[in-house]
Amino acid sequence: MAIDQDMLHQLTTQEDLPELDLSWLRPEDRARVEATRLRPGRKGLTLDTLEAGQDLPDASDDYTARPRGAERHPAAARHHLYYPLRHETWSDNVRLLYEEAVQRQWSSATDIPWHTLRPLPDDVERAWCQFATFLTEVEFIAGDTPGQWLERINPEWYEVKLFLLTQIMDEARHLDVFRKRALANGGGLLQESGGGGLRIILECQDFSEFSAIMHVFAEALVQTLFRSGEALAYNEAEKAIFRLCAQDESRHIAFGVMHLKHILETQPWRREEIHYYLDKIEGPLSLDMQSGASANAPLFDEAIMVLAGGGRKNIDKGFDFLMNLRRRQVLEYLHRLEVAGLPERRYRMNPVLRAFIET
Amino acid sequence: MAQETTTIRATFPSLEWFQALKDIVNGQEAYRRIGTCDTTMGIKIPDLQKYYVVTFEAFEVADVREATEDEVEDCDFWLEAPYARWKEMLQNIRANGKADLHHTLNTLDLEDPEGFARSHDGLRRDAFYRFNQSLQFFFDASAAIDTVFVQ
Repeated sequence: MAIDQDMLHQLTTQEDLPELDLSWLRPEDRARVEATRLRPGRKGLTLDTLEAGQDLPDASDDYTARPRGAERHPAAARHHLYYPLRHETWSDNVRLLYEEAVQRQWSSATDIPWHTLRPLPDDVERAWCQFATFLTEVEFIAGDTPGQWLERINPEWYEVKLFLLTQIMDEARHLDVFRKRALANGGGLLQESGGGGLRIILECQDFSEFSAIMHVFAEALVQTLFRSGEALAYNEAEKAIFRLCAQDESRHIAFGVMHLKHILETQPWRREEIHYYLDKIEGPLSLDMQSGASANAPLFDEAIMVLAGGGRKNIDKGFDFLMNLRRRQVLEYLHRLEVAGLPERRYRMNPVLRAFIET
Repeated sequence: MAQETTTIRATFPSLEWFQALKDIVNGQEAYRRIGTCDTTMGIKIPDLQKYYVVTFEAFEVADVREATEDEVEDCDFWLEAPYARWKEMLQNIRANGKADLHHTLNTLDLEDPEGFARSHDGLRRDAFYRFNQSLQFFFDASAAIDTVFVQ
């Protein structure tokens, strides 16, 4: 095709280019830019440094992806129906926890001394594999659940979104480290659980419901289990797994406790609603604990008893450990609710749970 | 954690001992690699009436000092045990290069009915769990001190 000489001339002649709109450069703002330039502190340039002194809006009717502080674009398309109120997803420690999570990541490939794994008696190894199988399953749920809420978090309060993303990464690592433990010593994955209690976590309809059930209840139980898990460890590798996982869980709990506190302080009329959510989750998991050979995951409890007893011959010792673990789980759960501002839960708790601290 | 060759001799408990530990930890890149740690930790040895406060900031141990019992109880959390228990833990660390499976901070906490890590505020106490790896590193580093015990 022959080149149109007029077109060629047009394309190569600068004066024919459309006029640029550089109004957004705002040279008049230069002084303000200089005045607000940030310097990293001892921890680097953290979100707290970045946002210090900035107003935090309590409400937003913006459903676009506009970052906080940016000007609205008149043609910006809506993305999702975000939560419009900050209170509904906020936690006062969210920036700190996000930075902490980013700083304290670890690798299941290189931070666990896998070389310390040694052959274990068959019953103990299989108990470990069953224990790790269930925890792998739990961590699937723990990763999927926060992912469900990401699209509902308003970019106006982006810190919450960032924190949930770190939680998903944490849970991914937990999933992979327990799968690795199940396979690393030759045992492999064993029996799947019924998973009924876990499904309740996935079925939450509200962010605060999700946070109360997952962060404050479920992860608190898991964190106590991981801490106690050091007593189930037969080598340095297993001990490191529990210690590192417990650290991660503690951040998730800290977010949930502070979110619950924030809700109770800013939306006090939601107190009964929170109790309703806790009723929902305590019931199934109370059944889970009732006899030490639970309805939902008997294999899991039995595995703990074998591990804690040092083998199936010492199952009584293992049962004592399990009951002490349950008591500690309930006490720590209640203590966190007190911190969050829900002390009356002690008297409204599921009676089967309460039995663990009254006996 | 690989420990450095012993070069320091100090008496436990004393400010000199905690200062030595602070210097050892701050000189180790491995401690920084764990990540930031921001908390105040009290040390309480009731039978000797000895109290210390250790402040962790960002990537280092920022301060160690002697304190009153009230100041210790105002920390995020404090570690409390009789002198004999502290001695057992530190001797174990010294003998093994780090705490063995029965002498980690977490295990000692679980074995004590009242807890090794205590706080008046459950949320602040969670710092003990959130930074457990850093705190364990701190005490494991005492393997590099030739510790003299007062009793």
